[in-house]
Amino acid sequence: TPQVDPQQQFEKLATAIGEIYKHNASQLSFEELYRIGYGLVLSKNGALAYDGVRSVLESHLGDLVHNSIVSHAEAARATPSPSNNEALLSSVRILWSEHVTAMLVIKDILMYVDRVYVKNAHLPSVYEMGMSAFRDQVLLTAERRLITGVAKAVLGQISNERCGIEINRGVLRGVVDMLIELQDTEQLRPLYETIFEPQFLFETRAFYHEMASARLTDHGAAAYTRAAQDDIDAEMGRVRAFLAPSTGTALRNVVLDELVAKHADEVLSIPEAGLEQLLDQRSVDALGVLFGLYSPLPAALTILQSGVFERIQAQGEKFAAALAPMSPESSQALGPAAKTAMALRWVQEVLALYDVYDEFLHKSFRGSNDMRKTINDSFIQLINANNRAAELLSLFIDDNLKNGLKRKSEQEVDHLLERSVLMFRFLQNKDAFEHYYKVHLAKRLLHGRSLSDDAEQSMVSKLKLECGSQFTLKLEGMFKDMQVSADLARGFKNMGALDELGFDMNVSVLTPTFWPALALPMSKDTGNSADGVSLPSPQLSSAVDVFTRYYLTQHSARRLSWQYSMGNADIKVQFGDRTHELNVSTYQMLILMLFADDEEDVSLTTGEIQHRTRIPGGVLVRQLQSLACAKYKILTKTPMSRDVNLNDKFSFNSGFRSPQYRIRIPVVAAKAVVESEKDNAESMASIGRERQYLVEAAIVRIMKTRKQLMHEQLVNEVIHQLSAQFLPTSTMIKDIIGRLIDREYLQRSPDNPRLYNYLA
Amino acid sequence: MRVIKLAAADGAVISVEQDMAEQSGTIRNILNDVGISSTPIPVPNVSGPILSKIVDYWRHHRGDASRRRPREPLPGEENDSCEAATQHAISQMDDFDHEFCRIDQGTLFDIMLAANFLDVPPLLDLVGYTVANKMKGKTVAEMRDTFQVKNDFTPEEEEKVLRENAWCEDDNGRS
Repeated sequence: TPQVDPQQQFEKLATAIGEIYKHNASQLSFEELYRIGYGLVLSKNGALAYDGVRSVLESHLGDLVHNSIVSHAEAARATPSPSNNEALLSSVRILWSEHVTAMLVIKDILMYVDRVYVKNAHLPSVYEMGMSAFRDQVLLTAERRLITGVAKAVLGQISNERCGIEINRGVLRGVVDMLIELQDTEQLRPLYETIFEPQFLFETRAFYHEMASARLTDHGAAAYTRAAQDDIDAEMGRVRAFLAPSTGTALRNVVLDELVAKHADEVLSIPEAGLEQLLDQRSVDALGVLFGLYSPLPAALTILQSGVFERIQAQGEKFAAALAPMSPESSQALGPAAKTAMALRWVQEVLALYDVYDEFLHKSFRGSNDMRKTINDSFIQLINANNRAAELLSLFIDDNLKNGLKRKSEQEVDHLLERSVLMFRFLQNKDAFEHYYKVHLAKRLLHGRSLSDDAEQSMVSKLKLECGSQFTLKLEGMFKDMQVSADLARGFKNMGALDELGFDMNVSVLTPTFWPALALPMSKDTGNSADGVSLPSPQLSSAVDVFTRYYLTQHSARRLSWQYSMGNADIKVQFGDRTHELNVSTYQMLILMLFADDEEDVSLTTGEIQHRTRIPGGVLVRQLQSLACAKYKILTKTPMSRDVNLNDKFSFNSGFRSPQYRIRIPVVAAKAVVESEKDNAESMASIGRERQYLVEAAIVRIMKTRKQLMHEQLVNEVIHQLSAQFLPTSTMIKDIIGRLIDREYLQRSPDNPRLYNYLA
Repeated sequence: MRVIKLAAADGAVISVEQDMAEQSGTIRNILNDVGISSTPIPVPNVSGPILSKIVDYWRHHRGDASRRRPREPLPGEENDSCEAATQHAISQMDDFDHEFCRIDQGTLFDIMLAANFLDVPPLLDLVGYTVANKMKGKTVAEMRDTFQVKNDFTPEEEEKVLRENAWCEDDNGRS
């Protein structure tokens, strides 16, 4: 090949580059230029090519930044109006995209230079070189300060958009892409990161700082959070439209910080329009927005949780205040029925409130575990603040299983039971609940008052799931007894033993361990009657005997103890020419039978009645009151006062009239009601005794295994073991430890008084 | 498939289908930036016969790029990438390739220059491999002879270089 002058060759290349920038590329021969580059590298003139190209680019670029760009920059600096900003940005962007287009062609032409010369000399590629040239000649030259102007213009446009002015986003996209592409000379990071982004975040912060202050003067929590969310959405929209994706996180953090984190508490406490109002007015959507903003910020979330916790407590206090008339100090004297209604309302209100917050949890708080825990903890505190909660819950369930389920669908029933179990889960004094539940269940079973056997069973199995079978053992025992009794009754009836007597008798046989101590203690003698009551009629005695004998044929090794206090009877009573069927307690029946003779004016005193029936005094009074002083006056009492004295007279009221054929004569306080203070004290004492045993047993059990424990550990272990039933106080535990030491189950270690040893 | 024309140094015009020609990086670039036209692309530093041989190579190897699995780097390979790349390239050569290289030395070198200019990496590897094999086992004098390289060392320089590199030769002075 003939020797060619490299400089001459290069000139061709230089001219071509000029043409490319003037959009005259079509006149050139690509392959010729490529060959020139190839030739220069082969002839060891790579440096000439490379450095030469760089100079050419630099001078072209210098020229291209013609005056119009500079004057745009001046205008924008003087008056940063939207149109001035846009003019500047637009002209820079055009220059940039033309440069990129040209460089793409140039780099292809010089591909051989890249492949061989650049690679060996470890220089930046031709394209990279072109980029640096643009940066240095157009943006960074000191005399023109274009980079500052450009950055300011971009920031200015963003600021304008935030104020509602419409801007050209396409231009911003182009300019930002340029800033991302161009690297900073020293740091090898994009200009976007070194020059633009920090300033952008700084101005954003200032903007939202102001915004927050302004809004707090006149926005409620709902409006404030809605606006904040809208702002974040708008900013994220900007990121997608014309910023670098990497800015997204930092931007969101800045906005959240200024709008939410710094005012978390303030927003929730806005008077008349804060968290309290949102919760009370069930603003599910607004709470959802609020939660969305608060949940990424741990400190703010904690404040929100507190707020919710407190609101629940406040509601709980209102419910508790409504119960005030029930307390012994109250001046209002309420009957048991009214008290019971109040108690039921309390449970209902608490459960309804829970439903409200459950809805919040799912619809507003996205099922967050933190919020769930807060809500549950708050309800636990609320419920256990009421020291009669266990009793009231049992009453509530009792009422529903007797009456309340009547008009409810299966779904509603299940929901109600679920909620009851939930409240049970929150109860600390689970053993107290068991105590009451047994009492109420016993009454339901014995008086046949359950509406739905399925519901009863369902309730017990739910409790079993919560607490294990130990807890429900006795309850299930009660059901079993009823079942067995029903079978026995069928067998008994088939025998026809009572046919000649002219009446039916249904006996429920109860196993004492399962049933609460409703019954009086088992007697030692007197014809199997536990309470010493004597039956006035030989027919009744006979029936009792027949059944007893029948039972003993089935279970020879057992003893039956008859509880007349708990039975009921249906009797036909003639009043003049009318007959009514009365449903009465067994005792009531015994009393009425005293008047069953034909003589109409038989009159008996309380004392005489007592003598003939041997019904215990206090009980007798209630029975007589129910027959003579209540709604249905079957007996006439002289005098007509409500209290019953020994010499008051009773006679049969043949003038009794009622439109109903079948009438139930309830005994005062036979149905389950809120306990009187006295009864409550008794229950509590009984539960308390039980608890002493449980704690003792737990301590001995623990020490037997561990042999040696520190005081604190022992206390914690005891609390842990008994947590399913109740929460013992550390004082209680300490006392019992003391007693166990006295009884020489434990000793204090001689080396360390806080350490206990187990004594075998 | 579009047909493009290439004009060799001696004016010979060869028609080639686009996918075959795009095995050359240079031609690929030209087609991207300038577009396909009826005017032949001038390749004035490659003669007709050489261009023809190269087209043969392209014809045989068309579709290779899509067929061949890209080579996965083995762990710990960065320093040996050259070695491994070479091994990989050798493993891809087939009978056609070996037959292709049974040509006189002049043609071989011309093809090497053309492959470099046209940026056809597999062909460059193939020819380079062939030349390297020719060098194997030869003494310096033999190599000079084979490749017709003028000895431009002074005797002192030559001796110095031989001494410094004695370790890589065997007893008979063969490398």
